[in-house]
Amino acid sequence: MSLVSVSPESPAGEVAAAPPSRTRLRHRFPLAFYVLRRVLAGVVTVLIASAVIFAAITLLPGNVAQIILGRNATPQTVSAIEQQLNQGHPAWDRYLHFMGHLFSGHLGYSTAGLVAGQNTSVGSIIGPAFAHSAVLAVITMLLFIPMVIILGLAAGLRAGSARDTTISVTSLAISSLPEFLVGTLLIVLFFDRLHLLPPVSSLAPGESPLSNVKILVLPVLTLLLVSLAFGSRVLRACVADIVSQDYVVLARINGYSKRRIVFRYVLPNALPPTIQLIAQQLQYLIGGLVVVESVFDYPGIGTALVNAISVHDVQVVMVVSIFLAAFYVLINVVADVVAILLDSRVRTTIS
Amino acid sequence: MESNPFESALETEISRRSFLGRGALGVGAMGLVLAGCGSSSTTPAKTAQIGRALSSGPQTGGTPVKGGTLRLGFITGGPAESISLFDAGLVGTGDFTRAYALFDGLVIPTPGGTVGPALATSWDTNSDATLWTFHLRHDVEFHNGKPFGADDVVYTIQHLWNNPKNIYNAALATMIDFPGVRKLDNYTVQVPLKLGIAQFPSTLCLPQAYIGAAGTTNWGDGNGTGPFTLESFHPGVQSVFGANKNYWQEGLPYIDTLVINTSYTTESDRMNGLLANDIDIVPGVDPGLAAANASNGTIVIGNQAGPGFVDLNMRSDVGVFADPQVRKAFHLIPERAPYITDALNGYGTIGNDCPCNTDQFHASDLISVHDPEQAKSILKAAGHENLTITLATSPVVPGLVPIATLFKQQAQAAGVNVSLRVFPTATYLTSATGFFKREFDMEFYTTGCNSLASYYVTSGIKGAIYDMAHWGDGSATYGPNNSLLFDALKETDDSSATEKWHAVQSYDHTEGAWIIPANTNWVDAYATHVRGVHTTSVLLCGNFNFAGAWIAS
Repeated sequence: MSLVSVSPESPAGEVAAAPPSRTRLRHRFPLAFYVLRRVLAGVVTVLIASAVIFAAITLLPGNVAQIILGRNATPQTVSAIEQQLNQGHPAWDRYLHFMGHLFSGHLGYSTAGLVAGQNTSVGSIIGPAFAHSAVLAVITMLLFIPMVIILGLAAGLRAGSARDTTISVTSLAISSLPEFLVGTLLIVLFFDRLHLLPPVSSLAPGESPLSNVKILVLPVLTLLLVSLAFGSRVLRACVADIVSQDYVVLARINGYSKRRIVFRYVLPNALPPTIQLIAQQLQYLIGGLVVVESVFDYPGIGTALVNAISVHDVQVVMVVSIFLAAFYVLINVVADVVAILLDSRVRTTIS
Repeated sequence: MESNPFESALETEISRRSFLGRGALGVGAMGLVLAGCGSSSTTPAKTAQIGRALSSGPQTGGTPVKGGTLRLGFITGGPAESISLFDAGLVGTGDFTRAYALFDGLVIPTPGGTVGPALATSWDTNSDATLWTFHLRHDVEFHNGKPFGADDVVYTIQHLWNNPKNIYNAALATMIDFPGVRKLDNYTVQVPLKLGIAQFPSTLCLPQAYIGAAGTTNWGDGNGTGPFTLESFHPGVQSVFGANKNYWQEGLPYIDTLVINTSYTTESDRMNGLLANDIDIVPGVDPGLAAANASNGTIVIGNQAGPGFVDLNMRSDVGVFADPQVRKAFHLIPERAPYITDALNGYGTIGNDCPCNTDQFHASDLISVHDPEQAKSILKAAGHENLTITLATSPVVPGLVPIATLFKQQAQAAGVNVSLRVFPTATYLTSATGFFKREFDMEFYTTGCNSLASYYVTSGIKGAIYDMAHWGDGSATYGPNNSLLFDALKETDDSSATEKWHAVQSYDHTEGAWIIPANTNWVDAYATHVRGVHTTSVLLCGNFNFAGAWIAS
């Protein structure tokens, strides 16, 4: 089916002669317009998120100077720091000031650092943190994708069997546990009992987590256990549904080999929901990393965000939150586009 | 004023241990006496059986080994961490430790609220303790090679101590007449005070009162005279220090490298870091974690009585606590033993509402009594029967919320209904939650200032930076115009000072504005290979003294 369609109200002869109006372009490049619309909606979403985050952190009781100085915060010291931080300006003015700098590529300086009298750039804080989290996320995803497919297929192809029951019940049990509990149980087992793996993931400045793979094992295992449980259950349901479809039954009657049926008919049809699943998993990682990094004291973006929130470090919280929101939106858009490209039924709907 | 000759770090440790041994026996003996003083209606606080056995931590003895790296772990301060003595930095324990490594003070704290020599080898004062003369050490160099002398001390006092950005400035400004500070010769400095303070040197033990080089404007470069030199500093992650090869204490430090890891986000992460050999020492370990790991053979716990405490503050200028009878009744409410055994996991001693229990002038003979019936009758006579009051607290330090909960339960027997308001850690000490204005709240005192003078100057007199009791606004004070307190502060004769401080503390004990149910211990956790650094009564890790630390093979 062609992706290009002509409006029924427009005579075919006028299509070539008339200048390309927005409607015609939309009809000629429906996918491009769809993506553009999603991107614009994503930008608006991020802007709204940034305003909400700014309002929330502004409304929190106490300010960064009072929190960091604690009981040493004399009125004179707090007043001097507030002036330095433009705290006397209206909130909307500070928000616009912040966004203006962000759009011009300046991430600014940590508010908490300024209180302590030093210019610590936000980039120097979140750069390594993002890199560390990326290592954790990429390794988790590289293991997650094949494992979820294997588990999903193993359970879905034999729905109702003992194998399916074992996988489903185990995954249901694990998925009912919160990340911090799974992480703590793993620490008890692998550190306290077996003395095999470290319970914390300290890194020296400039050190890559890949230089000491041991510190990655428990955080990755925690993320995998929690996410595999959910992922395998979703894929299992999808596979179980596909294998009961007429075309699969017909292929089986025709004597096709199991391998051919799985790779030719089952997996390709399970791919779009798998893509959505991977997208969901990536989105989960944004939240999951915050918890798992805290459990293992892993120096990633989640830990940086938690630390920044605890001292009301407005600049760091804003920058990290906006990046995470943008990443979240980006995953959504990419997943939708890939799903459209893979699924002809959705392409038809768009057209 | 007598000053001590300088002793080596190891000799100092031995004398401290001897002192602590006697101190422990003394407390035990006193507890036995007190145990016999109980009656059926009142319960004096017992001290003998309460609390865990004291320990200085790592093994003693052995021949120090040169070289190696010592790694310390702290809760992160994030980008707000600092190495600057000058500005608003130095607010976390990690910040303090960096300053102790890089800089020296004129004096170092020693047990009993006394001090020993550091950059000053001796000091003397006039009869009313208002004019102090410090005689400085010769042959000391800053890290950049500049010789140390009187100019550096005068410059530091007038530019660093006398700067509103220094968080200790308010206390120092209360005491010191800054413009009058002057150099008598290259190694002698005179410091005039605004009021007589016989324990003045003991108030100079915090790093905000340490000494930098004359002419310094960027205090963040860490150019001090301390045992370690700055190699790298990554706020909220890690700072690395090398041994100062020209350190004025001959042969020290033993270790080549000191690493201060400030990346931990929780207390359990720090303890896990120690157990996993990521770090060698956890200074100021959480009492609950210390108790849980006390029998773990891979670490040792140092546990010593210190001047710190947790207290319940009764605002004396407004509300019910402006009535001294109400304060008197509240002093009778706490049954104190559970505060130590339950809330502090045994890492503390029973308080008697008098601060700084390790000071030589501490009135340890004053015993707090638990008598809810009498409290009830005092409140009834004062017209406050069935009093209802809110106690503000927070998990800002271990033990605060459990102590508040215990007090709430115990107050019921005195007919007082206490409702707890638990604030988040981040905002508890801010005006956003009413800090300094709350009628009844909880506070804590953990600092390198270990003398009664340092406590009362920062917390007990009008204009003090931690005047939680609002004495300055109230009518009830230490005698007319605080004369009791000012007389005690300036008394240079130890015998007379003991009497005068006793009078001040007797007032605090019976109707003062703070209830101190528990004194907190200094508690450190060490890897078993650490030697030469010990927990003492003056501060964590023996006043963060890592110059004498070494690593056993």
